[in-house]
This record gives sequence, structure tokens and C-alpha cells, in this order.
Amino acid sequence: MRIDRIELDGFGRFHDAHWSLGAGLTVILGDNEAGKTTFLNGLRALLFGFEATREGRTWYPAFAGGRRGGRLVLTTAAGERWVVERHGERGGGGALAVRAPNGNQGGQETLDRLLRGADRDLFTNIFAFGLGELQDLHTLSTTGVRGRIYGAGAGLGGTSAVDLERDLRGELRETFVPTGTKPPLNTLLVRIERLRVEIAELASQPQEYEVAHRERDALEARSMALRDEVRGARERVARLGHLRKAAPILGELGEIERELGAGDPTLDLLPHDVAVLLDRRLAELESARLALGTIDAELDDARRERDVVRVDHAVLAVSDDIAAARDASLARSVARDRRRDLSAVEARHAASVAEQRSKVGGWEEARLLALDDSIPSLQATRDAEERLARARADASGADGRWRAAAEGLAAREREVVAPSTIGDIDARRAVLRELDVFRGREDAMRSVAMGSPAKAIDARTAVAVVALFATAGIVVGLSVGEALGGVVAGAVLGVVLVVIVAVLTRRPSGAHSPDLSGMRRELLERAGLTPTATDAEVVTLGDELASARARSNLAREQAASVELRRDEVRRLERSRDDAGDALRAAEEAWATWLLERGMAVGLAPTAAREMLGAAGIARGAVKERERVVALMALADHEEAEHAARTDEIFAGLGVGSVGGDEERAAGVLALVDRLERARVAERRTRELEVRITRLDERRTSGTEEVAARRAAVERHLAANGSLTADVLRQRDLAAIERRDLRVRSRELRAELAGVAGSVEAIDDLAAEARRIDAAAVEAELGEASADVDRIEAEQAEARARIGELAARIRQLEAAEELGTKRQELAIAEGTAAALARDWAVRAVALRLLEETRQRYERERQPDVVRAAETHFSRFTGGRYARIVAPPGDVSVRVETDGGEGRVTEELSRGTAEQLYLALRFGLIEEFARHAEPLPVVMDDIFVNFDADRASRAAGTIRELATRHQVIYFTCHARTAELLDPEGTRTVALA
Amino acid sequence: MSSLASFRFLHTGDLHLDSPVEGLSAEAPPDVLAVLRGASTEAWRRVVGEAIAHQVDFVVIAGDVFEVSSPTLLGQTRFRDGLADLAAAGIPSFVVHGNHDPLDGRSWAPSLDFPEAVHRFGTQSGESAPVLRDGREIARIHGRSYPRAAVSDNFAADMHADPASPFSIGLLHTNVGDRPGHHNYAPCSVDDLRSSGMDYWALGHIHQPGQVLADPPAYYCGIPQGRDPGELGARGCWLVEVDAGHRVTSRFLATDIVRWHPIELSISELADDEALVRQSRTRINEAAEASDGRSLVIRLRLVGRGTLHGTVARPGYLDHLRVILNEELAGGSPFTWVESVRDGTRPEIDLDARREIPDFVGDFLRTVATARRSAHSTDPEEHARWQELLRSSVAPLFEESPRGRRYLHGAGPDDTALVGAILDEAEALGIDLLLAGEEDA
Repeated sequence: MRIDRIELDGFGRFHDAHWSLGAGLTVILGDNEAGKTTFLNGLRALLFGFEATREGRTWYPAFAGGRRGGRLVLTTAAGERWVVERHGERGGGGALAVRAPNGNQGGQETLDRLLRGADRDLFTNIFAFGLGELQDLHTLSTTGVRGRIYGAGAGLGGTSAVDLERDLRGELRETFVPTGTKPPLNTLLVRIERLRVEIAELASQPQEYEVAHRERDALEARSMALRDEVRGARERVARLGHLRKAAPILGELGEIERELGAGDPTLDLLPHDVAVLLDRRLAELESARLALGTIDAELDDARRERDVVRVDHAVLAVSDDIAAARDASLARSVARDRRRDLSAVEARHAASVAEQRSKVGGWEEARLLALDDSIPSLQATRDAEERLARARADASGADGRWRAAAEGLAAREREVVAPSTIGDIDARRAVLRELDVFRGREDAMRSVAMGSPAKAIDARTAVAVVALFATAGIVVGLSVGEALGGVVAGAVLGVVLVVIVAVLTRRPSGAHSPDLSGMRRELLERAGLTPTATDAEVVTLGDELASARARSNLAREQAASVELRRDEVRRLERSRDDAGDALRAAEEAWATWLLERGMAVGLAPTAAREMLGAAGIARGAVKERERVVALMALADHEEAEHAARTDEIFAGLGVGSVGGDEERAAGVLALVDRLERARVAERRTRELEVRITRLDERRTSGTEEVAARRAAVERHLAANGSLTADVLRQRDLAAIERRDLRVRSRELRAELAGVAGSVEAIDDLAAEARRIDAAAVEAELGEASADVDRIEAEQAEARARIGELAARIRQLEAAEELGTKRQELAIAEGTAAALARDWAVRAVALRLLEETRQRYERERQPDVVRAAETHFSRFTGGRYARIVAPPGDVSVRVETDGGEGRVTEELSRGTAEQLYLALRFGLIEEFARHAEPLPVVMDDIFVNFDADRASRAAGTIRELATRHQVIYFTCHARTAELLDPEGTRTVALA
Repeated sequence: MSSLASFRFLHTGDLHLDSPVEGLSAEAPPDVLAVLRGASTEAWRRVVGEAIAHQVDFVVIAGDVFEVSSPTLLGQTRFRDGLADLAAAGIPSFVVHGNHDPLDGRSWAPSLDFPEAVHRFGTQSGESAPVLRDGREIARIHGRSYPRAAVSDNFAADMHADPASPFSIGLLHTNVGDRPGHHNYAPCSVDDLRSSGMDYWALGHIHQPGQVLADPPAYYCGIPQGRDPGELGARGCWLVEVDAGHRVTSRFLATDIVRWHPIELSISELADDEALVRQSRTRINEAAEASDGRSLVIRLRLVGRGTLHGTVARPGYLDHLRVILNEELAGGSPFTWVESVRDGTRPEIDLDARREIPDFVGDFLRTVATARRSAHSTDPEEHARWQELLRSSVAPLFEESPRGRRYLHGAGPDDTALVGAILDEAEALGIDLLLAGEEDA
């Protein structure tokens, strides 16, 4: 690779500066401060970026102006042209653009590949160095430089083995560091340790469980013992408590027993209900007595009432007659009302008959009743009414239709047009048509004579026609003859055809037109016009004739219509006459019917029917009137009979005669009342007799009942050892008192049994109570109660502890923590194992890479050293023949051709610099063997070289320039001459 | 042959109650973790439920009731409760102790009351207990518990059937035939089992259920619930039916709550991230559908060579993929949870060919090959140099760090792993890193 051009837009003292460089050697000669170092650092900056600002001072600011940075135009060994452009105001990579030959643009990675892994260190120390770098042997041995030199030949492109190793180390450190806790594997190991401690602690749970179990078992045993103890103490407390409770009970019980022993023991035999029974027997006796008294009172009352009551036997003897008279009297009252109603009905019917008679004009009743109002008669009136109405309607309708037809006919007849002119009209219209035809011919002739544009053939048309026909003739001729002959024949034929056409289309001449005016005049006259009539008049006449013809047709149609109407009028007239005949016949028949019934002729059927109705109504009224009259007669008869019978009863009972019907009826009612009273008295007498009999019977049994109850009382007293009820009651009270004492005694014994624990224990308890006094009991009870409290407290404590232990045991049995921790540990260990394995793989890979790289370097280094030996021997004029540089060893030894060895510290400054230069050249060539040869830039490195060695070194540089681009900065013209004796490759830096 | 009543019993064991879920490389969501933690206890409840549902005459428990010698009281209580449920249903239980819960430990809290219907065998040989039905012996259980965790004695050799018993069952926690991958405790051979005269051997210790011997029938009951990604597939217990003619039939009853399911997904045919996610989901869904209604813990391992290798090798990518897959699965019941997504993929290059190229990558591959060969090197110096070099590389974590030394003891790579799996993965990682640079070049 070579640098074709360097452009510095702004860098230190340079602004918009550029240099074109050729392949091979370029010597840049400049005085001090001409900018050689600035140039070199500008080159480094463009390739590897800007160094950082230090102590506030920017590295090569563009103080001369422009944007800091610039561009390099590079050409690779393959001839590819790349442009590297970099700008930046601060330290670092800045803005880098690498343009490839194909126009693609890349960045740092592209540049790294282009430089084959050479970084700033490598470039600065090996490829672009000044006196300072040259004097530092250590830079040759650093792993980075060495690795990159050898890595350039490793076939790894832009990635060096050193980079890979560095990355792997980084990854290893990200997973694990020997001392630290942050990387994940370190964190996991700490966690594993903590979990193991926790698990160890939790693993002691079974022991705790066992201890808890043992303690719980011991406590339960102790609890059982305490339960026995407390039971004994409680029993003592209970016994003493019993004694304390039993003392007053026993005292009361003794008193009761003493009282019972002193009383009458026979009282114990009295039934509990002896007093109740006594009261009941006495109440029963009193009740029997009261009942007997009541019976006696009732008997007296009945007998007194029986003696007071009187019965009317006379009335009772005729009770049936009275009842019949009463019924008849009631019937007569109704009959009389009926008789009055009948009389009113009879009057109403008589009035009805009179009304009907007045309706028919005051006819006699008999004449009216003689009228036949049967249904057929009534139907006859209706039939006659209908027939008459129909006949009248027919007659009226027929007359109306006839009148309307006759009026219509008269109107039509007035409208009819006389048809006589039709023939004339048609003849005149025929003449007009002839005239029209004639006018057409006249126009045609006139147009020919005047050369009408519509009919004439102009000259062009004539030529065209001639040509056409001629052509047609030629075609026809050719079709029938030879060529020339055909043409001639065609021409002739065309001429002939033209002539024919001319003849046919020639204009008619005036000499050949007929005399049209005479013919027209004739026709006009025939049409009824003047001979001079104009065409307009002819047209007007035509229109008029057409109109007249239409009217004539209409008149003809109207005449036919009038005739038809006339026939119709005649027909309707006959119908009217027939209807009139029918009406008259019907009226005659109706008159006959009326006469036959003695009714006035001219009476309308409706009126006749009303008369028939009146007759019917009158007949009904008469009939009803007669029936009512008969009924009235019958009622009068019955009334008379009733009066006779009633008077007979009255007479029998001595009641005086009565006058009218009302008095008779009142008398009957009085008799009825008297009869009722007699019957009540008779019934009451019978009832009293029965009651007295029954009361007598009840008195007998009541007397017996009283005797029986008294005997029962006496028996009860005797049975219970008493002569009187009072004595018995006193004994009963005494017995009750004894029974109460016994009840109390039993209660006390029951209470004692409760205190003592059982009935059987009462005696023992009583005996013990008798033995111990109350004070001793109280003292002993206090002691026993204290024992109970103490034991119970201990028991509660034991129970609480047992509860705690049981809870802890349950907790331990259900504890998932140990399992959880073990699982966490398993996961942590699994994860750690996976990480550790991955770490191990990377660590082994790293070691293998290191091993490979070191071996690679070892194998490649002899080439570098051999090349360096050649250069060093040449620089020193053969004084030093060998260089010994153990791999990985910073120190380098040299040997003279005599085998004398020296370490670098033993060499002179210039010789040492020559050795370092030789080694750099060896490395440059080794790098170039495997990678793109990079430009070599040197900055006045001959300062400490003597003239011979400088000359030899210059020769070596010239040789190097045949394979590499070499840029040499110097401020010495002599050095420039050494390197470029011809001065053709020296550039002055102003 | 004695006259025999037909009966049935349940053969279980290796309950490993209180066992934490092992091998989780990612912290499970709380609901998933809760199910996982309770799974062994819940499986025990299912065993009890199956015994009661099938109305068995008795239950035999072939050791390792608890995972640790100091189980939690909660675990013991739940075991006791299960036994109590069995006793309440009239089902006696017979228990031997195994290496995880030997009688010298604290497996059983003395104060925890067990039902009378539970017989726990002691450590002496010759102990047996009858199973009675209506006062008549229908079978006799011969069992022996571990006095300590590591028992090297052959217990089976001292266990012999009682000729007077109608049916003899040997109940033992043992490694028959020195099965690899398991502690060789109470070791015995199939000949020992045959010569014992037992009619059935109810064995525990191997967590994979299966038949050891056909005559006499000898079965490992397996674990009722797989506890870690190594215990895959259905787990449960045996329902054993014995008819009047001494014929024994065994039926496996699955009692597990959660199943571990590894999925290996090759990236060789996958074009991009989307295809990877899609294919992962398909495989997970297939596994979930085939899980017999159990919750599922998925361990997804990406394998094969393909263009996606570089993508999946990116730091954090697999975790991200796991999160994406779990987001879609979250909230299901029974749940399906992707426990981890691991990278077993390799770059799409021919390592053998690449190793021959004389550049740095080739040097790296040759260095790895040298390290790998050193394990079998006849040159003791070469062997020791590489061993030291590799061991020293991981020493800061596993040896020099006190906590690492203490707590990662089991997780630290041994010499075999360092030149085996670890070296392989380191090689893959190194190649990824080196070729990433090459690809960029």
C-alpha cells in the first residue's frame, strides 16, 4: 500500500495543505519547525484518529484555519484506490469515512481491514517512528505489537489473535473473577455458600422435632399425673364442701322428723282430697235441695194459671163455619174488586166499538160487524193496491218515455240537413281533382321550358356523362373486340349513348305545348268558379267542398237516425196506450170489489183496509164486552149466596144482623178473632195440664235425690272419722301440715344426696358431720382449695406448653423451607455448573489460542531475526554478525563476528539504534510477507549514526523503498543527499 | 406347591421424596418450579391412589423413599400420610431402606407415627413378614434394609424363600449385575436371584423401570417421577397380579407428573433464524402432544453443521431463543417448558482439511489435536505438559478460588473432560472466533 496524496484541511500549522507522494522513497526536507513532526502526526491522525486532549491542550488544533483533519488517497498493492477522510475537533476517532474503489463507504472496521490489523501502536512503533520510538526497544517486544506483526500473517484478516484473546479474557472476567463478587458466577458461588449454611441450619429441624416430641411426651405424662392430683384435691374440696353444705340441712331435717313423731299418725291415712270430696258432697246435696224448691214453685205457678184460663166452646163448635165464612169473606172482597174491574172493562170495550164506528163514518154496529175483515179480504185490498199502483206506474212510465222520445224526435228532425246537395258536391270535387291534375301537367311543361336547375344538365355534367358513357362504351367494346377496335367501338358506343341520353333529356320546346287555358276555364266553370278564378280560390273551394261533403255525410247519417227514432216513438205510443187500458181495468175491478162489500166506490184500497181493520177491532171489542157482562152477573150471584151463609152463622152465635158487605166482612173477622182466642185458651189449658203432670213427677224424683245426697255426706263423714264437716276439715288441715313436713323432709334428703353424692352416702355424710365441727371443716377446705389452684395452674402451664409444642411439631412437619432451600441450591448449583462449564470452555479456548499464537511467533521469529541480522551487519559494516532474541524475552543480545556477545545495554547509543532499526526492518518485512506492505515513515533517525553507518543505513532504506513506500523526514540536507543522491525524490517542506 | 390365593400388589420404590429438581440450568417460572418441586410427592400420592384404585392386597416399597439421609419432616409426613391412606384402605405396606435413606441416617423421625399396617424391615438377614388375608397367609415378604449408605454385601445371597409360605417375595434395594452408572450397592447376580427360591423379586435402586429376570419374575420398579434430565420417559410402578396357579403378570402404571424430554435439532437443513424457531416449535409441539397429558420439560440441543452455526454461537443467542420459545408456551396446564437450549453445532467447514492449511487457524487446530492426542501420549512429559496446561487454564475457578474449589467440585472438568468434551467445545469456540475474523476479511 502506498499513500498517493495527503491533504490536511487543518492540522496544527497546516491549513489546506496537500502533498502528492510517489511510490518508493520520498525525502521531505525541512528546517526545524517546518512542520515535519506535524506532518507525521497528521498522517497518524488520519489513519488512527486524534490523540486525546491533555491538560486542557488540544492535540494539534487547526490553529492555522480549516477543519481539523483531512484525507489520504491510498493505493493498495492490487491497484485499488481508497480514500480515507477523517475530521474531528476532539480526541478519538472523529468522523471517519473510508471510500472503497467501488464507491462504497465504510468506517473503522473497513480501515482496520485495509491496514490488516495494524493499530496506532504498531504503526507508531514499527512503521512510522522517530528517534524517540527508535530508542525504545521495549516497544518491539510488547505483546500487542508482536501479536499484530505475526497476526498479520495469521490469515485472520482484520482480527488478530491478540484481539481474540483479549475478548475471551473479557468474557471470562464477565463470568468470573478470582477475587470479587459481582460477576454472575461469583454471585452464584456466594449464594450457594449461603444456601448451604441455611440448609445446614434447617437440617437440624428433625432434632428439634424429636426434642419437641420428647418434651411434649414428658409434659403429657406430667399432665396426666397432675390430673390425678387435682382430682384428689378436688375430691377433698368437694367432700369438705359437702360437709359445710350438709350441716344446716341435717339440722332442719332433725326438727321435721321430731315434729312428725309427735303428731297423730292416723292423719296420714286421710285421703289428700278428703276436704274436696266433702265440699263436693255438700254442694251436691245443696244442689238437690235447690232443684226441688224450684220444682215446687213451678208447680204452684202452673196450677194457678190452669185455674185462671177460660175456653169459648160455642165458637170452637162452629169453628169450621167461621173459617169458611172468613175464607168466603176474603174471596168476596176480591170478587167485588173484580166486579168493579169488569165493569170498567165493559165500559172500555163499549167505547172501543164506538170509536171504530166513528172511524167508518158512524156505521151501525151491526153493519160494521158485518164487514169481512178476514185475511183474504185484507190481502185483496193489498193486491188491489199493488195492481193499481203498478198499472198507474206503467201508464205514467210509458207516457213519460213516449213524450221524451217524441221530443227527441222533434229536435232531431229540426237538425237534419237536406241531403240533396251531395251529388253536386261530389261532381264539383271531381272537377277540382281534374283541375289539380291539369295544373300539375301545366307546371311540368312550364319548368322544362324555363331550364329549371332541377332538371337541366350543366356542361360539366354533360362532359362527365359523355366521358362516362364513352368509357362504358370502350369497356363494352373491349369486352367484345380487340384493343384498338375495342377503343373505337367503345367511343362510338359512348357517342351513341350520349345521343340517346340527350334525346331523352332534351328540353320540350314551346311549339309543342297544348292549349291549357281553355281546358282550365272549362274545368273552373264546371267546378262552379269563375273562369278567372285563381289557384287560391280553387283551393278554398276544395276545402269548402270537402267540408260540405262531410256535412252531407253527417246529414245522411242524421236522417237515418231520425227515422229510427220515429219508429221508436210509435212503439212507445202503443205501449202508453196499452198501459192506460190496464190501469182502467184495474180501477174497475177495485170498484166492483168495494161495491160488493157495501163500501163507497172510489175508496182507496188503503182506506178500505183501514175500514176492514176497524170492523175487526169492533168485532173483538163486542165479543169481550159480552164476556165481561157474563162474568159480572156471576159475581153478583155469588155475593148473594155468601151473604146468606154469613148471616146464618151470625144468627147461630147470637150476633146481631149486619147491613152491608163491609159490616158483614167485619163481623166475620170479629168471629175469626174470637175463634182464635178460644183456640189459644184451649191449647194453653192442655199445656198446663201436661206441665203439672210432669212437675209432679219431677218433684217425686227431686225428693229422692235430696235424700240420697244427704246420705252420701253422712257416709263420707263417717268414713273419715268425723261426725261433722267442720271436724273433718280440721283433721284435713292437720294432715296437710304433716304431708308438707314430709315433702320438706324428702327435699332435704334429696339435697343431702346431692351434696353427699348419693342417697346411700347420706348416712355417712351425716355421721361425719356429726363428728367434725364446722371450724375444722373450714380450715381443711381452705388448704384443699389452695392445692387445687396450685395443681391447676401447673396443669394449665403444661397444657399451654404442650399446645406450643404441638403447633411447633405441626409447623415442622409442614415446613417447606428446607425443601425450598434445597431446590434453590440445586438450581443455583445447576446454573453455576452450566456457567462454570462455559467458563471452562472459554478458558481452555483462550489457553489454546495463546499456545497457538506463541508457537506461531516462535516459528516466525527466526525469519525476523535473520532479516534483522542482515540489516544490522550491513549497518555496522559486518562488525556484528548475529542477533539473539529469545521469544517472549524483552532483552536482545548481539554477537560480533568473533562470537563476542553483548547485551543492548553494552552497545553504544548509535549501535543500539542501528540494532533497533534492523529489528524494525525485519518486522516490517515479516509483516509484508503476509499482509499488505504498509508505508514506512521515519523522522530523522540518523542523528546518532556515524557517516559510514548512516550511509549504509541510507542504502538499506533505499532498498526497502523498492518494496515499500518510504517517507523520510529530515532537516539535514546531508541526510537528504544520502537517501536521494540525485535529489529527484526530495521535497522541501516550506 | 402350597395352595395359593390369587392376589395383587403394587411394587414401587425409589420415591426419592424431597428430591430437589436437578440439572436446571435456567431458573424455572414460579408455577413450573412449584410443579417440579412437588412432582415426587405428587407421584407418591398417585402411587397410593393406584394401589387403592386397584384394591391391591399390599404394597412393597423397595428403598430410597427419600433422596437424602436427612429428609424434611414435610416429606416424611407426606410419606406417612400416604401409608396411612393405604392402611385406611386396608392395604398393608412393606418397606426396606436403601442407600439414600439407610437406617443409620436420619431418614425417619422416631417420633413420626406410622400406621400399624406398615412393616419396615431391619438390617438383619432372614427377616420376613407375612401378608394375611382373613387370618391366612397369602404371601410372605423377605426384606432387608441398608444399615448405611454404602453396602457392599450381597444381601440377596442370604435371602431365601420360606417353603411353608404360599408365595415368597424378595424386597431389596440392589444393583443386579453391577450395572454401570449406578452405585454398586448390595450387589448381586441374577443367579443369586434365581437360587433364592423367591416367587417374585421386588427390586429398587435402578430408576429405569424394567424386568431383570423372567423366572422368577424380578423387576426394578423405577422411580415414580423422573427427577432430572437424565431420567427420561414415563416413570411409575408395577401392578403385580398373582393368580392361584402361581402365574405372575406385571403391568406398568405411569405415575409421573412431569416428563423430561430432550430434543436434538439439526441445523444442517435450516436456512435462517426463522426456520430454526419454526422447527423448534414444531418439535416441541410434537413432544407435547406425545406427552400423555404430562407436563413437559424440554432440553433442546442444536446439533449438526450448517450456516446457522455462527448465529447460534453468538453470546446470548440461545438464551434469547429459549425465551422466545417459552413465551409462546407460557401459561399452559399441563405445562411445557424449555429448560435450556444448548449448542452442539459445528461450523460448516471440514476441520481435517482446514487443519492442513499452514496458517494460524491451521496452527490452532493442530494445537488442539496435539492436546487431544496428549491424553494418549506415550511421552510422559508431553502428557504432563498438556495436562498441566489445560488444568491450569481452568484452575483459577476450580482450584484456586476457595468457593469454586468448594462448590464446583462436582462441576469441574476432570482430565478426561478437559481433553474430551471441553476440548471439543473449546476447539469449536476458537474456530468460530478465528473464522469470524476470516469471514470479515
